[in-house]
Amino acid sequence: MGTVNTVLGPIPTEQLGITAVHEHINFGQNGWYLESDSWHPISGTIARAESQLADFRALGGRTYVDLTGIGNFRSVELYRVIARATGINFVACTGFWTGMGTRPFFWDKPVEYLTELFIKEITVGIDDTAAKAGVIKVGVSHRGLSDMDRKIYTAAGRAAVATGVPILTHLSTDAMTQLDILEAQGLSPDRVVIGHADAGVDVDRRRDLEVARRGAYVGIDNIGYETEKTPRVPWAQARRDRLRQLLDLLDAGFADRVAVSADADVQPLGWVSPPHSVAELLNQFVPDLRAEGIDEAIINTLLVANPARLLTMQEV
Amino acid sequence: MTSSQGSAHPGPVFRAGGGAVLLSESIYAVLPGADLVPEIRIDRAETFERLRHALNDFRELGGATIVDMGGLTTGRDAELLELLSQVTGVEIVASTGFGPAWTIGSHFTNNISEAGMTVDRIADIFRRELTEGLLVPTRARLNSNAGIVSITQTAAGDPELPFTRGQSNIEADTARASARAALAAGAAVAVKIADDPRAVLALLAEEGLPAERTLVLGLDRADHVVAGLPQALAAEGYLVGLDHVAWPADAGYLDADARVRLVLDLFEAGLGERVIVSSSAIGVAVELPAPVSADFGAVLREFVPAFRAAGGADEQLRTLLETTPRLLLTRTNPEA
Repeated sequence: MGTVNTVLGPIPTEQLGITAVHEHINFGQNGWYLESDSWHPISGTIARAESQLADFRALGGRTYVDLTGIGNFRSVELYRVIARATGINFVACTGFWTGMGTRPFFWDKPVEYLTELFIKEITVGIDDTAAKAGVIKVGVSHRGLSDMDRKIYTAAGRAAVATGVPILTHLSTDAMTQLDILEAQGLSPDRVVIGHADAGVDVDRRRDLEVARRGAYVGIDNIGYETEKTPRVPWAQARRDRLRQLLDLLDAGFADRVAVSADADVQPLGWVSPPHSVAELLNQFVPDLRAEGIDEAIINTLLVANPARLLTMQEV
Repeated sequence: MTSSQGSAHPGPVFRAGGGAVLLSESIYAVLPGADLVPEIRIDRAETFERLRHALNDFRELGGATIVDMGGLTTGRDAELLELLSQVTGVEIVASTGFGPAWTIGSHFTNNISEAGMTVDRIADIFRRELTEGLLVPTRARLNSNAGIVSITQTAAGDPELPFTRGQSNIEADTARASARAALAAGAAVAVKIADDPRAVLALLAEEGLPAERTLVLGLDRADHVVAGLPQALAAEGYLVGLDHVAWPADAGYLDADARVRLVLDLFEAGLGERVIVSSSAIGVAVELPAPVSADFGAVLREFVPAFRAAGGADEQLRTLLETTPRLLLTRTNPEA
């Protein structure tokens, strides 16, 4: 049905299988590396990635989408090593986490510059490698869409239209405005995941339904960040509440408008995560769904069909 | 190797004890983020050669020591500084601290974790650079320590942060952290001021940093001089940094003659031991918004002869360029 860019080259959509659409090998905010107690040997990161992705694979997982944007320690060199070692289809992104995470070099750059940068990373490669981005990451700063966020959304919308890759967002804050900006660039909402709808700080069931009705995907993609775990992160939600949030979407008939993932960091950089792994998507979340009587066809929709539809590069 | 440019300078223009010290320069600076895009190539070999040339020039003019006042957030490469020092014989003192708020990453300006960022976490970074060694981020802590803490006030023309918990908050936290680290290590703080230095100086004082351990940079800005700020701050015990020697006339700083007169006036007023001169050059700058001189020789080649010609004594030059800067860099509690 089409192709998807991975860090080891394009693959056919049919090869994707069970897919986690919003994950991180290592995400850090700029400056984390000045606190030397947070440093980790790269060998440890690789070992943890090998172990967690092997768990994911053993449970049936096949494709892993890393959404660490430019400047948050994205490393396609590292991703290629991990991809080869694990056999996981590894998709990297272009784009930015949020405007507030960008570095000053980008602040005065016009939309056209950012658009070209994203297109180059999708069509030529990232960081002088032949590894091409398969998706675009954008995000909302913590007090709502900033001017820099809007500029990034505009550029991302244009690059998505020009290349056929989808957009996944950080946060569901101002969801309708996010979609307005992207649609104004000519992008269909069904090419967009409005992410982290299940972040505990930002739950809004009515918004979820609006996003789904508009044709975009609702990102239930913080699976495993639970208030029951320690240490707490601000975006955690109670496991039951997250499940209920998803079941409501399924009850409303929107199974094909949900994107699920764990957003787990193999090696958080400069922050502390509760114990977490992409494998929780399959060894905890899926059993939770089954316990609620959700049938295998719906589970397949969430884990296989939706990601395949989303990630397949559109003809342009 | 010799880098002397023919007859450009016949020999050392500054002869004294250990050689001249420039307290406010920057060896190498990168606009944060310029390293993230494909079209910008940082040629390390060329960078090294340009810096070697500039530092050899400084040494041949009678220079001994340069303080890299860039802090941690404008692309400092501590291993490059060490190497340059070895090959040129110029002593390079690295600063710890942060550059302008807009260079500080979101780990500090908008930390996502439950606990958030604190003054003491920032102070700890600076203190450990002063006492345990310079950071080569994610990889190594060198044996060389930072010599001073450098902080910067946001200027009117600086870029705004796209989002932050507040520009003034991160700036205030950085100032408090700099004072705590400096006190713990017996080091001094240098603050690059913008429009109103009083607010940041008050924070440093509130943290207990003595005026004589505070270097106020940028006091040769013409309007500050008109307002009498250099004399006032020197009288209060602060170290006064006149650190824009040889900057273009339209940059808003004193011209060469006026700077010489100001220094002589300060000596006349008995405040000559509280003044330093420097040129705020950047040896190699990658993608920085405003072009800045890459010449570390301006103080020795231009200020020194002009100061002598205006009646300044060699003993005064020695105070300005050696005794005062070396005292500032000397730890008050060397055991720390």
